[in-house]
Amino acid sequence: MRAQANFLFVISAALFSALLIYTAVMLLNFSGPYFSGPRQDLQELRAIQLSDTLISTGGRWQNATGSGADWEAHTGSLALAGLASSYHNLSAAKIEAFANLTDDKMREMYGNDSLYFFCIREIGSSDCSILASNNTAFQGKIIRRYAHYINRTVEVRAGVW
Amino acid sequence: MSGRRAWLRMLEVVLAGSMLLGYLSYIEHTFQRPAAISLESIADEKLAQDIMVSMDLMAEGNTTYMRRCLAQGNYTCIEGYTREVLPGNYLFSYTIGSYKTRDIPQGGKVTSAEYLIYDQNNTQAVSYRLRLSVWSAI
Repeated sequence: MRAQANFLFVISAALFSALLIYTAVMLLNFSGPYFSGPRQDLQELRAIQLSDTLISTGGRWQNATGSGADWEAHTGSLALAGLASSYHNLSAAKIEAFANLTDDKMREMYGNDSLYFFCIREIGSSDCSILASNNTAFQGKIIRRYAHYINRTVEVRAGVW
Repeated sequence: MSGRRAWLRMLEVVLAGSMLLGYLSYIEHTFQRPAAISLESIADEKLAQDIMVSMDLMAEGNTTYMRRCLAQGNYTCIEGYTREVLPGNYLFSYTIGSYKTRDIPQGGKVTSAEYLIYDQNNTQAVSYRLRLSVWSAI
């Protein structure tokens, strides 16, 4: 009788532990996306949008008197920065003007509480020799893209948080 | 005896609980919406698209690098360029017409992007539909 009770105890304990572990794993899997997913997704989505705007468009300036894509000549009226002279073809003048934009202007475009990161570099290089943002503390999602610049392919990295 | 009853009761609860969980998981599996396209896949698709656009923009004489490779049927030169720019943790395959440069794995996450090249020569116009599939090597 005692041996049978012990046997039942062992079986029950094993089943109970297995179910406890199963439930815990299921709850962790279920809750994961709700706590960490949306934030990372939002960062990645913003990075994709930002990189698309930078490499696919020429940007836009706008004020009371006019508007146009040559914002590098009207940085005071810059509405949205883009670095392309044509689709995926980066302009040296726009990159230079972008590198000289003030932090206030950046915050005006990307949001007051935003952190941002930009890097344009040669393929295989570790230095952002073509464009570098000063923000080394950036911890958000950075997306990697490729574009054309002076008859060669360059790597564009961008992130905004 | 009362101890044994308690364990049997616990066993009943455990079995009932596991049946309930199984049933809930079946309901979730049956009625869940189709999985959304992940942002990671969108990022990889853009990466693949960027490579083909860049290759198409790369001027070489009076044509572009990519057009020259395609006109010569030299797919290894397209692959060589892609290997240079694509990060090391990616593998890739081009599908050009009915030709495939490498077998695409059946399982795992493969992301593809398409690109159409229209090449107007002096005598004839040729169009190529390229499909670049990328997947993680790890």
